Amino acid sequence: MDAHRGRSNAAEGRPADAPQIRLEGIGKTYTSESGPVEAVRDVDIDVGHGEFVSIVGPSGSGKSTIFRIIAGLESASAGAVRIGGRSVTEPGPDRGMVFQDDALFPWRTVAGNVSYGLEEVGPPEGFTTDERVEYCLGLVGLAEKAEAYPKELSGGQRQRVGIARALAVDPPILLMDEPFGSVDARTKASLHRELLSIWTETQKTICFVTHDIQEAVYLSDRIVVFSDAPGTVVDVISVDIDRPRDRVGDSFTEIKGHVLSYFEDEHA
Amino acid sequence: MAGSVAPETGDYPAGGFDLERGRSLGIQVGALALFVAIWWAGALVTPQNLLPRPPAVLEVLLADVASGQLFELVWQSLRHYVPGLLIGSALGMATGVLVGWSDTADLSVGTVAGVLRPVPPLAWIPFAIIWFGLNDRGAAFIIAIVAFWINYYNAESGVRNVDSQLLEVGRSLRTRSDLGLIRRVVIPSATPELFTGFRTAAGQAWMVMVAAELLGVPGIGKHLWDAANFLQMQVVIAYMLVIGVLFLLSDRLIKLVESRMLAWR
Repeated sequence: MDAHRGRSNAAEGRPADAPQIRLEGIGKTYTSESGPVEAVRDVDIDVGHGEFVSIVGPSGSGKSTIFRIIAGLESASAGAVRIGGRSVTEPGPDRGMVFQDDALFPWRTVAGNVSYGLEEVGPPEGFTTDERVEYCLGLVGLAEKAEAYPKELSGGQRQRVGIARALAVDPPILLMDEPFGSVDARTKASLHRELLSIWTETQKTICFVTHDIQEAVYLSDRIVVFSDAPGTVVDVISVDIDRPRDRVGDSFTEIKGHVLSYFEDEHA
Repeated sequence: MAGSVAPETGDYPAGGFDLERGRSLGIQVGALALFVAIWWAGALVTPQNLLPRPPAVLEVLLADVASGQLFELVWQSLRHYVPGLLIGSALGMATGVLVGWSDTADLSVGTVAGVLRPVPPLAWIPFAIIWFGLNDRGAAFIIAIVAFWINYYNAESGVRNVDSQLLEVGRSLRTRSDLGLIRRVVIPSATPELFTGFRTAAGQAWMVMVAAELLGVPGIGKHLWDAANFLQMQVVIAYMLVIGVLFLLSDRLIKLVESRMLAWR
C-alpha cells in the first residue's frame, strides 16, 4: 500500500550510530512542603534511530518523570535532553505522546481527535488532512469508528485512537507512558501485536514506559531498568529474541527473570 | 412498575419510552391539577380581593390574549430581557474564562470581582437610572449584572476543572499560544459549565426583570405592579403565570440547544 508515503526520512543525513534521544545526567528534584524530594538522579539513556526502548520500574520510581522530561512537559533540574543532538525543553513536533489514560478530547470525534495536530501544523507531505486521518485510523484498525465519540469506545479502542492521534503529525519519535496500563490482558496482547506492526511499518523510534515486565520483554529491543527513590538506571538489558516473541519461551523467561531480579532484591 | 417493562422493550426504545413518558406526564398534570384545586378551595373561603379564583385569572388571560395586550407586554419585556441576558452572559463568560485561566487575572480581576460580587443587583438601580434612564437600556443593565455574575462563576470553575492532561495533549500537538489552548481545549472542555451558567442566568433574569421594571420600564413586571396598586389581584396572578410559562419555554429551548451541542457527553 502507500504506507511508506508518510514516512519522513528522519534517520537520513546523520551518522547511523548517533543516538536519536540522549539523556545526559538527568536529575529532577521537586520542592514539597517537607523539603526537596529527589525523583530521579543522574540518568543517562541513549535511544537509537528506530529503536524500541522500554523503561521499567516500580510505581513511583520516577519513570513517568523521565517520560515527562523527554516529552518537554517538565524541565530537568540537572542534565540535558538531546533529540538529534539538539537540546529540548518543551514539547516539539519530533515527539508524539501517548498517555496513560487515553486523554482523548471527549468533544471531538475519533477523526476529530486524530486531526487535531494536523489542524495546527498541516498534514505531512503527500497527504491531505483527510487522507492522513484515514491512513492513521487504518493503522490502528479503527477506520469504521471515525465518526464515533470517545465515550462510545472501549478502553482498548480509545488507546488506539491515542496512538493514531500521536502518529498523525508523523513525529519520528513516539513517547508512550504506560499506555496499556488500564486495559484487560487479552486486549493488551492484541494491542502489543498492533503496536509492533505499526512500529515496523512506520519505523518510529519508540520510548515506552511501563511497570509490566512481560510487556517490556515482549516489545522492546532494550529495557532500561529503574530503581526507586530516587529513580536511577540500574541496568540496560538487550532483548535479542526474534519477533514475534514467544511469551513462554526459554530465553523470554530468562530475560524476564533477569529484569525481575532487580525488584526482588529490593524486598530481600 | 415501569422498571419491569423496560428490559423487555429494550430493543424497542420508542415503546418503552412512551410508557415511561406517559407516566411522567401523568404525574406532572396531576400535580398541577392538585395545585389549582388547592388554590381554588382556598379562594372559595377567602375574599376575592385577597385571593382571586382561577376562573377570574383565566378570564384576564383570555381577554389579554384576545386584545393582544399579553403579546405586547411580553414583547416589551423581551426588549430588555434578551439584550441584558446576552450582553451580561457574554461579558461574564469572557471574564470568567480569563480569571480561571490566568493567575494574574485571578489576582487582579478576581479580587475586584470578590469585592463587587456581594452587591445586590438591585442596589445598582440608582445607577441604572442616572446612567441609562427609565428605559429598556436601564432595565437591561440590571438584568445584565445578574447574568454576568452567574456566568462568571460558572465559566471560572469550568476553566479550572479542565483536565490538565488535555492541555498537555494540546501542547504536545503543537497548540502553543495561550489563546490557542483556550480556544481549542479550554472552551470546548468547559462548554457544559458554560451552558449551566447561561441556563441558570436565563432563569434568574426573568425574576430580576420584574424587579427591574419597577423603575417604570414598560413590560410584564410593570404591568403586574400597576395592577397590584389597584388591587387587581387576578391580573397579578395572570402575569405571574405568564412569567412562569416564559421561564419554562426559555429553559426548554436552552436545554434543547445544549443537548444538541453536547452530544459528545
